[in-house]
Amino acid sequence: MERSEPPLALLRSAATVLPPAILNRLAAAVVRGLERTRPKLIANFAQLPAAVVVVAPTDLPYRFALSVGRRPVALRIVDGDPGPADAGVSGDVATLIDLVEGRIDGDSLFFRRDLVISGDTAVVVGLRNVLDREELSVAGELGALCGPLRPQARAVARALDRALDGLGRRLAAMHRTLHPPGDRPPDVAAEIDRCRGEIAALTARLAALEARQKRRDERDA
Amino acid sequence: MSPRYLELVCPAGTPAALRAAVDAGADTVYCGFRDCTNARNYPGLNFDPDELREGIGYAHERGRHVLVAINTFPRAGDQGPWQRAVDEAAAAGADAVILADLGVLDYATRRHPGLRRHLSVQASAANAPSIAFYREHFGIRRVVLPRVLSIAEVAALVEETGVETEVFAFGSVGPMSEGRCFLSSYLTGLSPTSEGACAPASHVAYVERNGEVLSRLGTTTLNRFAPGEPAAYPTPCKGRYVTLGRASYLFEEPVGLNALGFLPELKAAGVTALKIEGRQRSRAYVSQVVGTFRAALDALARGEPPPAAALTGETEGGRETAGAYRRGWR
Amino acid sequence: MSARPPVRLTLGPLLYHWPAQRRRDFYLRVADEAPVDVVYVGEVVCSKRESVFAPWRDSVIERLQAAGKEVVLSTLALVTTAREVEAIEEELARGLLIEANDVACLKVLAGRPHVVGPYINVFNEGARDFVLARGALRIVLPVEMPARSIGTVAAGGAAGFEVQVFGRQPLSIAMRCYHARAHNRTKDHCQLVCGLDPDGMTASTVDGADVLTINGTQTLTHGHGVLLGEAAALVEAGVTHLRLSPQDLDMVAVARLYREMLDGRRDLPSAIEALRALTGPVPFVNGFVHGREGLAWVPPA
Repeated sequence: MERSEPPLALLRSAATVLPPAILNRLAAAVVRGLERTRPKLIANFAQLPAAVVVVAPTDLPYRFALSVGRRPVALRIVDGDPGPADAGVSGDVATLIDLVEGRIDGDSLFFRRDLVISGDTAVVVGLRNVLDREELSVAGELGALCGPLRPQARAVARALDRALDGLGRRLAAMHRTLHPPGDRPPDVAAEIDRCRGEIAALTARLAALEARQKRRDERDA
Repeated sequence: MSPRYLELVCPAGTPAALRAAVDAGADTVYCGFRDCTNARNYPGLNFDPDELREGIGYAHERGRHVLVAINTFPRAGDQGPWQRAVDEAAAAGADAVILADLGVLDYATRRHPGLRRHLSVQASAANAPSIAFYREHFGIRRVVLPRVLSIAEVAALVEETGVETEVFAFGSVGPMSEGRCFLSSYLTGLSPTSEGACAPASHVAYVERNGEVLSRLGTTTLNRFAPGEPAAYPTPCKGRYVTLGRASYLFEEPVGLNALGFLPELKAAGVTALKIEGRQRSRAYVSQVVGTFRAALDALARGEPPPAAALTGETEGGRETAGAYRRGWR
Repeated sequence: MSARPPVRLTLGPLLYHWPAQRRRDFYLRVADEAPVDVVYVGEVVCSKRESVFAPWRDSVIERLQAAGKEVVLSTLALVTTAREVEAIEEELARGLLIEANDVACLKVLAGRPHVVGPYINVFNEGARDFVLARGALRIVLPVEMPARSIGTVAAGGAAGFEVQVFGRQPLSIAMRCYHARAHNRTKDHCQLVCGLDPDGMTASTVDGADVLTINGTQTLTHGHGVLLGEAAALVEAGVTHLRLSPQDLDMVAVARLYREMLDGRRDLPSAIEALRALTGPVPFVNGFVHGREGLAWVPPA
């Protein structure tokens, strides 16, 4: 089975450095795209009892606030207080992607204990069940979202994913050297500069992609 | 093709899970409508009539069967949804309906005599006279046996009743006589028997306190976990209670049933079908569990030992049990 | 409607395992002193307990009948062997009215007068009509039913309808014995350890709230189900029999105060106060009849 390919990985990498305004445009684009490619998913989200679910990845500085049970279904990315929420899910990004792609079910959600559910549990279970109705592969969704730009999108996503993995490894290494007592002083600044450089390049490609998509959306509309 | 070893009956909480089950080798898939007429009435789960029709089409094209569970007990004054569910299942071409309530059984028997009727585990028929009664009055063709019988008891029932039996092979263990357990409504006010949701998620909460996690159902604390300790889904029968000054899993441990290790014994007992529990679980669960059982059954049908397989990642609390099939459970 | 006969008070089957002598004395006192119209005898919870009381059973039944009580023999709630059903046929031959608590019993009772007990799910008109058409004289409704459903079911048919209005409410029955489990014994070697607890064994949550009562293979509410405030409305809705479920306290006094209240000789606050004096610290519950969680207590308006 395909695993944690692009779009969420893309969000994950982008979310590490991008300002919320850009992230929110991307989030809105994801929802708009899903309205077109997965109308039943959005309809089923809208049919759930009205609720705001805050998804808090433990390894990201941002949280996602998803409003379901009403039209339009909305996804916001927030870096501060997400406001009132009916339910919360938190776990690391990899676990959350498993959840979106249907690899975690309503029961394992509670057995595994690597996801922490707060607030109205029914909202989270409903969300999971609705996601599981679709055979979602995040990579495929981004591709579909980009329509004819599919191959390019995939290329960008793959590049991002590779970059991200490298970045993740370096960040993990940084973390290891920063936190537990170690005798080698970490070259943190250089490391951060390298990451910044990579992310800036990726962000530029992403913005170009987004602009093309937007033009395409307008033409379609 | 060799004669079927045991029929593999698999859960589908969504159309996607139905396709996953069929693709993974289910002989039969069971599912329910998106309302209180089935015992897995959870938000976002189950089928509308169109989805059911499409699902049945998908299964029938591949020579598989679809059963529709209408296995809760109608509320007084509101039998319409249950009767409509039976009508819809018949119209959609379901191969059988799985029923529990005397009134719904009576309705289906009179209104759709040609539609095959199975007796749900919610009817809790664990003895020969009950099964004989249901066969006599409702012509039931198959009984889903409660998860509380030993293999020897299953064999005796098959022998005595002559009705096809379907037994649980994988999933949660229900220690109480099913369909007659009011523990969940005692704590939440919502009845599994008529609303179809035991320990509804809307009443489940996890509370962190002093580095421990408390699971609560309604206002009642069911369990307390240390970080990383295996957890069960918070149903009242999987809670930890204090009796005689000692906290224990009084009713049932947080374990999952797995009969993979003794399929030949179930076959020898005369069982017709194996049921995988879990309409509330994911496509991934369905694919993995169904695929594993398919491989085992195919190997056994060829006279070979089943391939070694581990499913503990999918079971409650991450631990497996042979449940009541083995002596000593009681 | 003035034609309605006065509501009958019944004494449900004793669910706990009491020593035979004590059980006999209990029924003899009921025969002499309790203002109940119907007495259910018989073992509901565990077949292993049955033989203990067997030597006294027939004389107890005779005394109750001689005292003018209608005697009904309750069956097990979870039949496991065909022999247990055959035994019902023998009782029928002796002319006893049977309360069927497992569908298995209907196999032999269909077509003959009988009572459908609270452990058989009759939640709606369809199930009601089915069992009435097969000889049920009276249906004891499941404790989980809310008042509105009780009214809908009890409004139809010439049959009797019975609702438990006092005593811990049965919540589940299992093949497993939790009394034995709590004492680290197997069911096969339980030595009837349930006999240690004439009022059941309390099970509390890990944070110290008493929540359930364990009675062998049965689980009951911790609090006493008390439907004193609801009784009149239930009768108005068509309920013909009100059941008092025996607990380890003065059941004759309980029967008297329910009777007095139903007859208008005692008002509700005084009945509740008198009942509190008899039940000690055990809380009251009545959530189910109000369509709420069963452990709730909705005070009388």
